Amino acid sequence: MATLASLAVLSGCGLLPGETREVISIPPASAGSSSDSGFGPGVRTLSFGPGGKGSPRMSPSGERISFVLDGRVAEKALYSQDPSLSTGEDLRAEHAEWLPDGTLATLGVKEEDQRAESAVSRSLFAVSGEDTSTDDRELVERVGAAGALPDGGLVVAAEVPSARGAVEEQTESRLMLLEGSETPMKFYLRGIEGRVTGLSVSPDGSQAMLAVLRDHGGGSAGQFEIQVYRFSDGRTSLAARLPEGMEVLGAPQWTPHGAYFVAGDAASGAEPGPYALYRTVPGSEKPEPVSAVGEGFVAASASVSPDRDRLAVIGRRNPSSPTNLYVLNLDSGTLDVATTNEDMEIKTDPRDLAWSPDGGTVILVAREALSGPAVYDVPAEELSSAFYNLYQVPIRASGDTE
Amino acid sequence: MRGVFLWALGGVAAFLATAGAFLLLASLGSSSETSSPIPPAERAGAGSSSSPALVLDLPEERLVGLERAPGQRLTVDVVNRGDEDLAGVELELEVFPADTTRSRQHNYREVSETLTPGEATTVEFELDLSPSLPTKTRPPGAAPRAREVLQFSAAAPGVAPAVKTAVLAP
Repeated sequence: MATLASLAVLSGCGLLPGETREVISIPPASAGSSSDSGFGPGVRTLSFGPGGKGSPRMSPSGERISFVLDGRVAEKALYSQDPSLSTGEDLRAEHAEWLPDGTLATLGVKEEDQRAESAVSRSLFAVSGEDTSTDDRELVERVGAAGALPDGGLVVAAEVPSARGAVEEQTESRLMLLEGSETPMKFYLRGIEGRVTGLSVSPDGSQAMLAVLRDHGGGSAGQFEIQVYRFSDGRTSLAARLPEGMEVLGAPQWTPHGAYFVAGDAASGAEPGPYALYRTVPGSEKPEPVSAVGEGFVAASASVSPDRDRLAVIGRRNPSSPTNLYVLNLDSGTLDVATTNEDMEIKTDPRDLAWSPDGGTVILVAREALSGPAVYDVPAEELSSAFYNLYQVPIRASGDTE
Repeated sequence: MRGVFLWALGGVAAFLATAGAFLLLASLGSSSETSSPIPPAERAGAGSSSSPALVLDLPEERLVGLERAPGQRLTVDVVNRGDEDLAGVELELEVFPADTTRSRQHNYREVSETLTPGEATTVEFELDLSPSLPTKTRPPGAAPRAREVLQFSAAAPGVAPAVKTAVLAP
């Protein structure tokens, strides 16, 4: 009898494996916010309310997230609702990256410079974390691109006056390394011919993969190249040369299988209709379309995972299918869809896509597609899908199976 | 025999007590700080378990004909679904762009007379729905004809306020 009673008590206490976990199920904390995302189960909303949001970046610890809100850098704890603004109104921030000391550096344009805005008028600023514009410190002018180091820090490409003094000057760029807001920047003396429009750094931090727009003069629009820059001696090597008229969107992504990047016809307008995913081929200057995504795949942006074995791609299976987040396993060549887009508009700027440091989630920016007016029962500040907001999408590890 | 019955009864009681304790712990755990403090929003008309006294009624059809221009007329119904009179109902409307938090350009305010139980009143607003983001202040990435937000807030002493948010898509 005592044994019978003990079994009854034990089964209630949950000490028998495999039984009580079903009886007492604690709902996941994110369940409430997952159902409203419009991306299917498991996707979590990270921000609410109106406002122009973009360029999400998670801190190295994964506990905080920064993003650009109405041209100002905002940051908050990952699942809190009240971001604090870190830059003033005299700076129009476009993008921010975390530094190893927990501060942020931002690419942006000063208000007084916005009249003469061009692609290279951006500067890099250290962000103090206080809501005062006087603490924004300009570090580098004429920044073309910036890329995060695997262990924290930032490599910046900026235009410099050409040292050659030729009549038809070729634009020249230099790379710089920023490891902290209080740390002096390191300058790499050997320049790069052309304007660097995107860059990423190798896992060991010894090389950078660059998208470079070379100006051939004579009124031509220039030609894009994918180059590898070695930090130790400043040597560059050509990884791919794109046909004239094609442009690279965002940064080429450094992977063990070469550089993956989104490219397409520059004259085709704002919609990413003709853009596709390409990769460099060893021993060839000609990039090849990535066949693993399938024929007709339209790519908008791509970002490699922290462990370099997966590529997150915002795109469409074909021009008439909905935009979704896909994950390409670079080892197996399999393409998985990570979102079930029910009726969402996903931002396609390359900066609006970011991995979490542990490679378990991807952050994107989206809003509900509205074909007409919509009425909600809550204040605007509590709405997510009606406005561009941040969403956290869980990603399976490369070895996981369903 | 009686002993067996008592043992079984005791076992069942212990099971129920322990399971109850676990369920209580589970309900406490679900309100941890990792949960979203803001519940997912529902589209209007999705249903609600509570029945507030002060209700705003704004069918989507009334918004269909609105143009991005001055002089747009829009009506909203304020309803007293409670059991007592509602005196001094205030209805406020804010109109602002969806793609920026920087400015709320238009505010409208109406005050209603007393609403008796079951009574509804229709309030008409004349709105300036001209695009509220001039080109020079438009944030980067904002569409030329951004979405516009109309947020109605009704309040009366002693009852919970009512809110309706309408989003106008280009």
